[in-house]
Amino acid sequence: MSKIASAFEQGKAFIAFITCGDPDLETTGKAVREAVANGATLIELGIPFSDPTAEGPVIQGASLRALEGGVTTDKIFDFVRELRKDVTVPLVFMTYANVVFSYGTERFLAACEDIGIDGLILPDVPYEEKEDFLPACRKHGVKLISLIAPTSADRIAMIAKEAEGFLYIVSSLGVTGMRSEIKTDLQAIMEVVRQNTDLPCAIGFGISTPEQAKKMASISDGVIVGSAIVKLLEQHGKDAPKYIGEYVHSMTKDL
Amino acid sequence: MTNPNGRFGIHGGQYIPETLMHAVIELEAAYNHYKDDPEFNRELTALFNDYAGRPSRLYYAEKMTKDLGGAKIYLKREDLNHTGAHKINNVLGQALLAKKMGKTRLIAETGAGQHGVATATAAALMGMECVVFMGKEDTIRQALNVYRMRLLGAEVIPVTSGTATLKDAVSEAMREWTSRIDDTHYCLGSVMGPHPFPTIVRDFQAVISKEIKEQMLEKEGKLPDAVLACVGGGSNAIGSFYHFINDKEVALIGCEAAGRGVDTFETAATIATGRLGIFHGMKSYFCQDE
Amino acid sequence: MNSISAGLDYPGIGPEHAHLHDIGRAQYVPVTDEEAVCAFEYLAKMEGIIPAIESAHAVAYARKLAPTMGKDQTIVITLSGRGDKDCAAIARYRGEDLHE
Repeated sequence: MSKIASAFEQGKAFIAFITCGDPDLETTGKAVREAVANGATLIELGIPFSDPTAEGPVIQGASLRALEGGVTTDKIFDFVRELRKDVTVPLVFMTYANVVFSYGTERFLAACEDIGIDGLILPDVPYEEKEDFLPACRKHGVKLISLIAPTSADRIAMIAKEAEGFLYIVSSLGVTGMRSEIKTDLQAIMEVVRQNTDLPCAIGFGISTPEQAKKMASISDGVIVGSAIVKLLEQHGKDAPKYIGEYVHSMTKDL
Repeated sequence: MTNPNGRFGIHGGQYIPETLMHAVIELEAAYNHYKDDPEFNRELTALFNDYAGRPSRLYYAEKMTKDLGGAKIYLKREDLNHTGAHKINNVLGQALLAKKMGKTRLIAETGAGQHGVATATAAALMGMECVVFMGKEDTIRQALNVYRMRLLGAEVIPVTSGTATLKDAVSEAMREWTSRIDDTHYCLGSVMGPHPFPTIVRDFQAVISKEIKEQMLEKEGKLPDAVLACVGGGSNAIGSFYHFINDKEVALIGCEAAGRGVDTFETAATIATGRLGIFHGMKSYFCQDE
Repeated sequence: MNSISAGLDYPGIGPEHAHLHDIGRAQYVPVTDEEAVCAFEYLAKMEGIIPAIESAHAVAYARKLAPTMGKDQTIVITLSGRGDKDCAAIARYRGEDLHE
């Protein structure tokens, strides 16, 4: 069983997203440890990209702050190597195709294996383009995470059958960001997913409150929270880790 | 020239969020249906001819030819089209296609405002809602075009993200499309973005080279030795080249903006200075930082 | 990215052009702001046509290419747009304090 799959074995998963280097890597390290100490089962680490087309204003802001702070892919690799000395939960990178491609796909994935990255999420790489990245991911034991969207419809079975690690179920149309309500019929999507794979499924996009998390986790295996955490970094900067710890605790205690 | 996955050699593809895949697949299916539909083509030809003023003239620039003292120079007058540029060819095609697909709203990106004005024009003509994303910097530099778009009934949204220029306007239009797909068509302005846009935009602009070929055969009795066009994303250039690609004796020359020079940082000469990358839905050459 | 013509100021090129470049079927040449502005002024005075500054990049290269070719040969330049929109910016480039 993959490390990602076993993380989902311990009850409903809580996946926290944090942009590396926002506002600096030291803060990112503290934020990750706070999140893990308060129940996060998996951490999604964002590698900032200048033009993140799938992100709303909150995560765009985080990418900008991180890039202005001078973070680079190599610095992030060094940071993860350090983080791995005491952080044992699965870690997945979330970034854009060009970040991996420009670095050199083979070189990027070899580094991921070396530093202990378990998975990779590329929101601008759909099923049709995954062959650019999948062979290198497989070679280096990194799960390439597939996404399913509210518009996926007859694509769900095709995507689910070939998925690895876990399935990222996008709750709503649009970009990342907090939403007051989630209108998509996720139950129907989950049914089709379940018919086609046994992989764990986590729902993300728009989840910020414990009530939403509980509701989403009731029909899936876990939730992904990004913008609500990044918002705390936007508000508190270097002081954000303790607020992130409190927030993650509030989200995980009744999940 | 396109293979089934929207590739041109190693370039092209569909590097977009899963949420948009349904929209581009729907667009491709509709385009494949309508591109050979006689009624669609009759309507589009009528719009080209009666509304946009096609075919555009091929003018023999006699004074310039004499002044330069070499090859005979002809000018393909896309500047005489309605709205003053080649942009209208693509926009009329896409707006008509969107309408056939049952879409009621067009969104577009624009740099200087030419594509935005063309899109707003087509939307007004066809009774569609129109929203144009334009970098905040550009809305200030091109205030007159912002007024034109609003006059034509479009809403102009200044984009402040990133560098607040054309590339950010494209990103913002893609984000908007991700959130509203059912009634909205993204009317992309150049031969870029995810498949099928580079093919669709090329086909609507290919009327330029189709006419050049006919006009040259009529005026000179032979094909031109060279066809020159400027290249940004490259829609007027691919439109000018397309029907000559298999005529190997015709030199096809794209002129890129080097700004202050290709050896400076202030350049947009992508082929001269760019690297292979993946951005805005496609694999191609891009000017990019580390 | 920085070009005098906003219409050409996109950091990428369409994938079919990238391919035509790779296979050598089309040639892509750089033209500077200064060359484009000179061509903008040249076409206005020579033919009474004010081209878009974008299109002026193609005119600029034609001015270099045409003299190297024979009188029996022909060049077609696509004038992609008209230059009314660019007059104020070119005037400013030439040092005139002109605003629309």
